[in-house]
Amino acid sequence: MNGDDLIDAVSMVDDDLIEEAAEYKKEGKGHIVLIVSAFAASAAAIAVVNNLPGYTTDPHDFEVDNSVQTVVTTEASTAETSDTGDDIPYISSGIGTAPFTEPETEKSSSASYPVTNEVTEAAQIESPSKTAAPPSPSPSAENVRTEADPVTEPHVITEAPATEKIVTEATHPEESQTLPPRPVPSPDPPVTVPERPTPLPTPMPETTVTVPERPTLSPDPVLPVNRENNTFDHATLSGKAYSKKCVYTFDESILNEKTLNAFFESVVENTGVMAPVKTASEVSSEEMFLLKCGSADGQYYVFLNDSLSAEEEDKIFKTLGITEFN
Amino acid sequence: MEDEKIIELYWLRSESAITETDKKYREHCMYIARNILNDISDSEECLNDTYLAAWNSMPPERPSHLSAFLAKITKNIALKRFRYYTADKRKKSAQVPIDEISESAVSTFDVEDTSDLKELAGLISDFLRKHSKEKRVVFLRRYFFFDSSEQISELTGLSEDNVRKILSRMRKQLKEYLTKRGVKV
Repeated sequence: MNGDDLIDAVSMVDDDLIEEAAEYKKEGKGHIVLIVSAFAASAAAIAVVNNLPGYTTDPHDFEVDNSVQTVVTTEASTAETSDTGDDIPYISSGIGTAPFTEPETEKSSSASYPVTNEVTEAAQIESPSKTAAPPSPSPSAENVRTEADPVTEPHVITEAPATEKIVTEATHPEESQTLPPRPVPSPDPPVTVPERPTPLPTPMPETTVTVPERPTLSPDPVLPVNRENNTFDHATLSGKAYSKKCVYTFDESILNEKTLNAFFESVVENTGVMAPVKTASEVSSEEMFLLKCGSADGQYYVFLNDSLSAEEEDKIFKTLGITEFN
Repeated sequence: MEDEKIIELYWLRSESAITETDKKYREHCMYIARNILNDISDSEECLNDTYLAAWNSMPPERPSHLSAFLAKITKNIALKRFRYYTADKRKKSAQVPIDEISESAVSTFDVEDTSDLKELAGLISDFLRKHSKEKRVVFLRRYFFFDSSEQISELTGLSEDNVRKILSRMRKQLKEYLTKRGVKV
């Protein structure tokens, strides 16, 4: 027994264990995607809030902003969790994350409108307790103070909740649409927006691709297509129909190295078979492909696209130097 | 599309079986092939061969886990190609895990045919089931998917050092396990 045997044996371990290892990846990536998309959703929500028609630049409104952000983030996370179950994760490359953010962002933006309004109202109710402390240019805040208790202003802020209630009620008229225009506070107090971490995409594990020295593989003479009784004369490649025309021995140098998979249809057995086929460098695969024939070097069946005219077929034969048909 | 439906397409000999497989599992298979071959072009050919093999084996096969089924095919094809390429010279990518796991090889056990391999695979499955999920995942990510310690660390949240320690311990335990089970020792 050697390492190769063990590796081969590991390849044959139970499917559920392999699935588990593959799924584990999915979960792992899912969490990362979740965090990134949550950040994206919050960013989108903030952008929406900032652009709302009634949105004011009052510095205290930033409190409102944060509440909205929290609500939307939670929604986005929930939606995401239910989504992750279906997709296959990719493994190396974090593939599948890109299409994910777009609908989420959309969803969270639209959802943010009602939430924003509610929270804004709520925040306006709460605002006096916060606005009273710093010197506020807001006339509403001044009104509140004078009406409630101009003498004991500090007490209103720090002590009894009952006083606070009075203050809260006093602010209600402020919510009506016919508010007196607020004087624009000339020098805005410096507003520090809490820095949000920029969501960075998780780095893909990089695989260094080396240019290979490619030894030629020996051609596999056993192919699933039965070539003896002409039952597989018709084939499909990329949705196009082809038919077998002739056998020809090609100079291998004109053949492309890359193989494609074509489907061969048996007219006798009514079955389909897939087999690897080659293409020639001088003719497009939309017009022609070649199927290995027997074990002789360079011998191939020539399949041409059914839509080609007789002239076009002749042109291809001439290009390839095919003069005799087998 | 659900795996069952994809398998059904294979059984119906529908060409779209390959299209759907490609849509759902292309990256999964490419990842395995690329980890072993370390070359995109080779991996793409390997992927084509995987689809062909899947087409030829379904029917009669009806795998219960399509992703694992495809992963096994891809891995076997990629390893075969890798061994062909490295008959003379060694490439680094897949060779490292092979060299590592050879520590666990029991010298007195000869693998002569597929039934021996199946027996060995059964023992390894049992061995893995005795460990925690995390350790099983670390082991299989390394020796099935050929992930690097760095990739495993990123996936599991364990430090690279920790991953290496787990793997080293598991290799030793595997050797003991195989020896104790008396695999024709």
